[in-house]
Amino acid sequence: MAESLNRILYVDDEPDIRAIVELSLRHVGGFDVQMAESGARALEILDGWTPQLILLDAMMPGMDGPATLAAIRQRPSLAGVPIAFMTAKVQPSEVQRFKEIGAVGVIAKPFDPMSLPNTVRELWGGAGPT
Amino acid sequence: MILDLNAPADSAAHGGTERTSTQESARPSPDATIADAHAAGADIPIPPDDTPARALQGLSIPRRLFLAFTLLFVLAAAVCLWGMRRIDVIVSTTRDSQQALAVIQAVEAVRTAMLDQETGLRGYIVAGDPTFLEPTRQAMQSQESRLARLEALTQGDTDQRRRVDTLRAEVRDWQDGYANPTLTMATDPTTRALARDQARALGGKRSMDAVRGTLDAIATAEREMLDEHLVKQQNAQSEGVRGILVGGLMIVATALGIWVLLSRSLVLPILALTAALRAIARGDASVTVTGAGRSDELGTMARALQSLKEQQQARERQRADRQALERRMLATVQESRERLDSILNSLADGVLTINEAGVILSANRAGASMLGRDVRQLLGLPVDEFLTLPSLAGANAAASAVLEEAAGTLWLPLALEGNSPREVEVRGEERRFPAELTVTTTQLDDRPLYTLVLRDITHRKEVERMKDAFISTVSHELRTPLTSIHGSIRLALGMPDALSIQAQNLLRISDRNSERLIAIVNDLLDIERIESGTLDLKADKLDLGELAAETVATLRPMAEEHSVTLRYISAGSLPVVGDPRRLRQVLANLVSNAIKYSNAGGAVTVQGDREDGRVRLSVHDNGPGVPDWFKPRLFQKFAQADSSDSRQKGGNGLGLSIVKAIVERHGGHMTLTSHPGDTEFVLTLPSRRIDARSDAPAGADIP
Repeated sequence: MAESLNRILYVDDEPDIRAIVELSLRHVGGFDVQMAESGARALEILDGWTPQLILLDAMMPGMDGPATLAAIRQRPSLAGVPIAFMTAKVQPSEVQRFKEIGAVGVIAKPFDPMSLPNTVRELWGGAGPT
Repeated sequence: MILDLNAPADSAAHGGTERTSTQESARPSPDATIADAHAAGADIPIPPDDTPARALQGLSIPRRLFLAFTLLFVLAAAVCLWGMRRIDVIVSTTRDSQQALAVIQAVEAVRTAMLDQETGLRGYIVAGDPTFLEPTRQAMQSQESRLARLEALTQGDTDQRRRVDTLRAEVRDWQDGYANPTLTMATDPTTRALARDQARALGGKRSMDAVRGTLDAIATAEREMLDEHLVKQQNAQSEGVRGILVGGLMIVATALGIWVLLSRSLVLPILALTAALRAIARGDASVTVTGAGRSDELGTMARALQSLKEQQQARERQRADRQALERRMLATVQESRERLDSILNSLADGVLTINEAGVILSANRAGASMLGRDVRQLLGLPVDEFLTLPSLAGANAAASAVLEEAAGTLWLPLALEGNSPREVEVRGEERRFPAELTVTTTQLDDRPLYTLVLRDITHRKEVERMKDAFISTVSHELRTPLTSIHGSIRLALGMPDALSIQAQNLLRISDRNSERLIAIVNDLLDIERIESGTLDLKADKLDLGELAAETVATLRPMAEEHSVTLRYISAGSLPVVGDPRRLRQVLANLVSNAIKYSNAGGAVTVQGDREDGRVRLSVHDNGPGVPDWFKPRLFQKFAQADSSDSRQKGGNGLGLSIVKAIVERHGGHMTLTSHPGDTEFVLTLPSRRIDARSDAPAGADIP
């Protein structure tokens, strides 16, 4: 294994969920996590920092998850970074749509923060960069 | 007899004892007539003595006519006989008169001959010229024949005959006593003077006077007889003329009498009956038929006519009754139709009737307004111009192709099968909207009549959509805080060193209940998806047996917690096509239910089975079971036998309805058999043919 998952960007407009995800990934999973409260903020962070995995909340005011994904995909430097969604919309048709626009996976809310790091690792392992 | 015959023929009807009730009612009684006549100030008709006429009424018409003509014949014959007798008298008196005249002529002939003889004889004697003797000789020669003729003519009359005999004797006496001797003397010149003297002395005058006297007597007697005959003849003639006159008058009077009688007793009644018959034939049964009481043919006719009239009246009454009945029925039909129409028109639902060809036969007001046309415009139009079945309008291209192909002929049988309401799209002139269609089939005159009831469900659909949107929104909105709560609790529980035992217990309670809350939200979302038709299912090749084993393994801790024995009896692989997550959800629901509703120490047995192209999974427990009253509602939303269950058992009443919907979406079905201590839920799904190449491709959605 050339590289293990360490840097994760999490984008969500809900501060409570951001706090839980941060706790889960940083303290339970031990990852290097950056948090953004909007798509625009995420793009700012990405200007100076390149994560190995980006987790996007699907529903956000202003720029939502898919829009943020599209914006990120505009940047060739970020082309290899896998993006997954964390959303309450887990209908198969929705999952299908997220995958069609380039998501490597969908993590359903509510999630178990204790098992989230493993879920993230599995996701990254399946879609991760070589 | 003539007087009798002149009696009015219908007097029998007035005074007769044979009056029938019909006549009684048809014409007033004599008393009434009199009274009425009094009142009207008219002459009082006095019924004449009607006995002979009544007797006559008893006779048949041919007999009556025979009697009348016989009477006339007898009268005429009597008159003829009587006249002939008079003619006989006239003829015989004429003959007698001629006889008398002949006798008188014969007497004069004898007298002439006597005179001729005497004159000739005297001339001869006086003049002596024999030429004078010639007439005497001739007269003497013819005298015998003249006497003979006279004898012959008086043959039948004794007195005259006797006189003729006397005459003959006297003639002979003159001839023999005077003429012949005198002639002989005159011829002899010797005695001629003597003869001349004798002649001068009027010789033979006495006997000649006797002859002349007898001749006069005979002639006088004959003349008397002739006078007698003439008188007799005149009498006979005048009698004959008078008798013929009287007889003729009698015949005429009798004929008149017969005429009056016949016209009164036959012709007038016949005319009346004819008029009545015409009236009845015209259909006028109100006419009065007279003479039914008569005992002759006219009576028979009148009775026949009366019965005809009564039949006609009965028919008229029947017709009137029938017409009244028809009118009443029509009015009733009309009224009930109007009532029905007003009921139908007051309905908010559209009601259409169509025939088997789909042609609209009727529509109520709401129906017409739904389709955006006048009622009259709608009649005769094909109903499929306005209605579309969702399956026809719908998504599946192959199915809709089949349906469209069949639309021409099979639309109705396809669309109208079954009586349960179905959703259709109504394409009205003004708007399109969803409607619920209920079809009822009736047979009208051996042809099917379809009644279509259309209920506009736009509003209901809108409410449903809003409800679904509401549930969806609320559920999603609930998830976000739940994510935080649940996540926080889990994280806190992940740091046991930082927490006291009490705090850890409290956090576990919070954790359990936040999970329940998440389950409720998930169930609500599932229900919403099922009802809005947005429940998407994957179609993966699966082994239901494996899923069952997994589920049993997953739930074993729960079973232990409830002190329930949980086991799975495998029947090898149970291949199906389905959504693994959803089928896991179904199995977890069924098994956890069985555990929850078992008593401590009970046993839950999950058993797989295959049969006839289907797989079967049963979940058996020996808990108290499902009460009978609750069984029909078991698979309904928010159904719990005991409302306290939701707290005790941690259920929300949604689980089994979701289970049932998911199983049915997989083409399977759920059954329940339950008695106390013996409850079994059975899940049956179509089996996947393991080796078949037509296996559903992995990842395909179940339609």
